[in-house]
Amino acid sequence: MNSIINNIEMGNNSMLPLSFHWTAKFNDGTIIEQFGEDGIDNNFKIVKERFIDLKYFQLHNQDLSKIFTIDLEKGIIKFCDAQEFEEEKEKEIKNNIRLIYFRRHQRIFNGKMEEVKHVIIQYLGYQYQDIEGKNRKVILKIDENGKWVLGE
Amino acid sequence: MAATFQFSESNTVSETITDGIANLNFGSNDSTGLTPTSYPVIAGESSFEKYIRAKFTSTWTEISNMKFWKSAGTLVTGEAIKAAANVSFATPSATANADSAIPTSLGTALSVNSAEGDSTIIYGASGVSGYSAYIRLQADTTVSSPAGSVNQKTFIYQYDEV
Repeated sequence: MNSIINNIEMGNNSMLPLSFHWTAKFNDGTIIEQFGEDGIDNNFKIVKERFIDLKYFQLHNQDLSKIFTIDLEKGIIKFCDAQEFEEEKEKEIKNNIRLIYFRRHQRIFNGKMEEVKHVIIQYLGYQYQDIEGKNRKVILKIDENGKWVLGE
Repeated sequence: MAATFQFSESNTVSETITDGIANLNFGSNDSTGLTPTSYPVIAGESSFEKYIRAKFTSTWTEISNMKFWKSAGTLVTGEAIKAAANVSFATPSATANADSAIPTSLGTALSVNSAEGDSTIIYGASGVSGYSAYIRLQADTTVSSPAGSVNQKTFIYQYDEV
């Protein structure tokens, strides 16, 4: 009589250190960093509760010298303070500009269900209402090496 | 801080919960971390069902958009892996259930809720356990299934965190 062996093993699914950290700047000048100098790990909830006052939101990786900044007043994305992904060529009117930010995790398991890969993609951007009242999104997808793709 | 992820498995009639399971081996016994050679699935029969949940610990703000699917791995003759999400826990059974084949792409992936039935797991919210809802898995075979180990497979658990 045949017997089937399904051998599926889990790995140690430890937390992957984040390579990008965020900084939020508010209209009143307050700056909140994900990891403060005092070692406090600030929860994003603090930012979310003050979304309406958010002026800039930044993702940065010091090792890669990469900084992505969302300007929530103008509705533009800046890269390393050097260039803007989106030129304000048409001076498009953007209303109700809101931050988009989350990390998409893909935990990949082999046939033994050992975690063989943990992919984190940062989704960073904003949504707004155009002059016709349509909701539009501009999102960067940034991998852990700082490579990015811009989409709408 | 980011959420820490692990799989949790539930077994037995009284629901013995094991967090941080070592493997998800299918077999002819209702237990976690079983040794397949000790509890092989006889050709023509089904494995005991596996009830698993994602468990998130540490801190986060929101976890949402949880998906689960098999992304690679060819099934051998007569082999089937079935899955269903957001089911209630019941004593795992080795009788073939009526669940569908596990999805094989993100587009058709199982959407997984929180244990409380919401689409989002909000950290620190009242009554939130940090568990996802149950995913039920079962391996089926037929008498045509070849003996021995099956092909390697790849599974993905995806979620959005902020």
